[in-house]
Amino acid sequence: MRNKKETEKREFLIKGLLFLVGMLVCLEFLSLLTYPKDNTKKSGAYNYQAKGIYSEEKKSVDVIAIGASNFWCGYIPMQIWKNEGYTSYNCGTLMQHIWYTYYFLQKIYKTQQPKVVLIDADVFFIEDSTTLQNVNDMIRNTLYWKLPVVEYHDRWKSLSRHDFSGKVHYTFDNEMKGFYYVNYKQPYILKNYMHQRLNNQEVTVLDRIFMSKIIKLCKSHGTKIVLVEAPTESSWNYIRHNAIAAYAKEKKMDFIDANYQNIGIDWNIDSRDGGYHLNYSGAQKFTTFVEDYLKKNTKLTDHRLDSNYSNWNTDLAKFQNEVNPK
Amino acid sequence: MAFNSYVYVLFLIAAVIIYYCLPKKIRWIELLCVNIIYYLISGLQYSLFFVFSIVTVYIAGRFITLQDQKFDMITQNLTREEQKEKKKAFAKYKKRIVVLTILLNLGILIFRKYFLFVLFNINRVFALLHISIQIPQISFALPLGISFYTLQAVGYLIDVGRGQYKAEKNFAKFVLFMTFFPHIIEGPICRYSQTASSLAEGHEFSKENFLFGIQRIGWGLFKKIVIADRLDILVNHIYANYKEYSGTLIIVVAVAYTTQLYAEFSGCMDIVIGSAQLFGITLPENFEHPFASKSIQEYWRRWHITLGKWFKDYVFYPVSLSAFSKKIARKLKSRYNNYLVKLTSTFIALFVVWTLTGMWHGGSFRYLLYGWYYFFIIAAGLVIEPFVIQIREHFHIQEHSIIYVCFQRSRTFILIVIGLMIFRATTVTQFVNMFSSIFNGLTISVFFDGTMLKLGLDKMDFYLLFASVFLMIAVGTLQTRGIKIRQFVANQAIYIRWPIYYALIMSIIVFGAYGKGYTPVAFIYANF
Amino acid sequence: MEELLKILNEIKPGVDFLNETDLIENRILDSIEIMELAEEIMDVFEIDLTPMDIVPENFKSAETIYQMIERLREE
Repeated sequence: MRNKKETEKREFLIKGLLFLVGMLVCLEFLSLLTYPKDNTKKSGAYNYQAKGIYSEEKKSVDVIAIGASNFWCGYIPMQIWKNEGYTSYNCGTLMQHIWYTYYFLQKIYKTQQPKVVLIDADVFFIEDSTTLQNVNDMIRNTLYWKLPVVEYHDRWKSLSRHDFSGKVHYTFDNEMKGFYYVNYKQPYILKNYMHQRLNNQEVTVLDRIFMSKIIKLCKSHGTKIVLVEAPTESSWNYIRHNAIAAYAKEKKMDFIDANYQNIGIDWNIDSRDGGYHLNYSGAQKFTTFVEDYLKKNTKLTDHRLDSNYSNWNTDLAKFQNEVNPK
Repeated sequence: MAFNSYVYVLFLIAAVIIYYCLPKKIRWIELLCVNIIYYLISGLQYSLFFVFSIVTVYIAGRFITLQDQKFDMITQNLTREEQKEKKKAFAKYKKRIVVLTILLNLGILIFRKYFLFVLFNINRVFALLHISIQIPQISFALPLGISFYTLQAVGYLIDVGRGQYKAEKNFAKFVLFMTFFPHIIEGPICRYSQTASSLAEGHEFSKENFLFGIQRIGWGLFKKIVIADRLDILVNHIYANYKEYSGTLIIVVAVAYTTQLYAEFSGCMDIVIGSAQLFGITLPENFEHPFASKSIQEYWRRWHITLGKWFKDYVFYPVSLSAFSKKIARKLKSRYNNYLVKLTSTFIALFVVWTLTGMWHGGSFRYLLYGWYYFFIIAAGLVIEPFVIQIREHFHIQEHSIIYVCFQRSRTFILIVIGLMIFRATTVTQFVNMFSSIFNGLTISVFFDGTMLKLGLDKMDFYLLFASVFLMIAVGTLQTRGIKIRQFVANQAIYIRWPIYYALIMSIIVFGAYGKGYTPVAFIYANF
Repeated sequence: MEELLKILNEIKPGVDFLNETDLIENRILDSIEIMELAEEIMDVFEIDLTPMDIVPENFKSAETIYQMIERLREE
């Protein structure tokens, strides 16, 4: 009698496992089908500007600046290239959270071997969300990166022949290198700068888990991690600064904060939306700030005269045309 | 923790696994802990109110049972007459305790829910009378599930007061009954006699409960994520810009909202009942093919069933049989001897029930109108019933003939759709405007001239909607014919049933109206 | 008993109340009809009904209703 129950139990568990495996197979297949076959906007890719990194020549990018919208609007790869010859990419995306940073870096490492990774301290803090929402978001993003059908399922409406072949070919190429260029301004009238009352002002357990993973990942590739905070009035204050400074010290990482030091930001002309994000003028100052750090603290190679990197010079010309049209 | 969130899935899996890994005797304790954890994660902020309700009702219940026991002891050796006297005294005393505790608990519910409504209207009256005082508006956030758990607690106390069963002695088991996590936020409203013992006993793992529970959850998720959330786009679009739409499109949005609400609420119930089934616990059904109803009375026995039952047992019958109604009925009967007068108590009770049912949904005039709308229909139905029978007999229409049944179902459906227009509108004025605009531009051309594609949904969305709603209706129809779908599929060979299960799961993931480009849709009834 | 049957037939004509044993389960009487029945019973048999009496056990069939009436008459 007991044996029958045991075998029934075992049979049930095995069937259950097989069912789950089958489900994973289905999900993998659907992911292959719905994953955009290119990293352009037209192909349906989300955050296609940041994902432009996939199109770059293998092992050609030495610095990755990855983070949330402040990075996206603040870091200018072409300026660094022009002045120092370092190759870098702006992988900032809207409201990026630390788990997204981790998974994105994992994918970037498949084709790149950056010597330095600049991580936006904003990814540690998510405005106005509870722990429950954070955990849910973390699970959601894990699924997005591991089973893309969850993120791209809506493409069922627009599947094409290419999708069925399953081959991915990244072609997005843009001289902005992920940077979001904006040249209008909306002044911020200084009020409570750095003394804002914000929610979520500490490095949480979830943050630590993912940052540890990032540290391990970067270490295994010999990459130096630098935590960076871009100028902003809306999502930063001294409490957050101190929390990140303490954490950086604990993990023996450098942390540079463009709000803590005076980098010459003039809030009348350097923001595009009243202090939330920088415009081109502000981005130039922030990029100079980062540039100085990189020059003094890293041993990056100047590739300006390397013929293998001539396309960067071409891109620079395009970029300068864009920002200073004649 | 919303039922359609990733965290809930993980939470449920963990809770179920741990439940069956523990020895049978302490499984109910695990369930109790799971309930508490769920409530604290989801609604920590105002949980003190919940604790207050649980504690007061528990104490009041124990007190009443103690009184009953005292009564039995004292009256053992008394005569019939003396027993009757004592009984009256005890009954009065018990009633006071019950009423006091109920008032305390209902008071919290009423205060938090309707304070703003009352304030707002007082201010309005002041404005009308040109009094320049304006009381500042303070609104209170509602403790999670308060409208549901308060009714459940009050029902329990009334049952104990009536002597239907003894109060729960074990405080932990009482908390378990009150806080069972699947039904805390949106019902079904359970009776102590229905679920308490099942919750307290540890259940043996049953393959059928486990598998059927999961399938039911899957079906509920499908209805909510694929159908309801997709319809929400269209419904929101039209309601947000309602002044730009009229005629046929209003009918479209009304039917769409009816479908959305049904898919969402019944889908939520599927998730709730399926989740409970995983633990071997059966919760009462809240929906039973409501659109097959032939009358509005029948509709309310098939839609949000436990709410209707609650009002029937704890409001309708008590009010009909109350001294007040009897008095009024007697007065009228002595003057007129009319078929209608015989229904006096019923009408009074119906009015109270529908006023309260309307208000239960929220503090605003449109919910009041919603309740009175149904009161009017049911009351009118009772009044004209003899005439309807006469007309039917005159034209020799058989009550069960297909044509007549179709007529009844169509008429009921139209009434339901109109009722839900009141429900969905933001104000009574908006409803009146939208309803009257139906008669302004009733054309079929909107279906062919591309208007339908400008409401937030594209062609593929519509194809999907038709297919999935058709599926929902088909499943419902099969069930009315007595076919148990889960059993039917389970009886098929593995190479038929596994593809069906995979199809359901993959449909939710691929066709769901979630993620990038979609606004998350909160569960509608979670706000009550 | 005949009185009871007369009342039942007035409220819901065409039902065989002598043989029906599941008036509530089979939805033969709905809550409003039960109230009408209760009113008539209270009138005709001069007893007092409370909500505690309106339970399926009492109203299952004409037989059980009559038993309830007898019981309440004695009290």
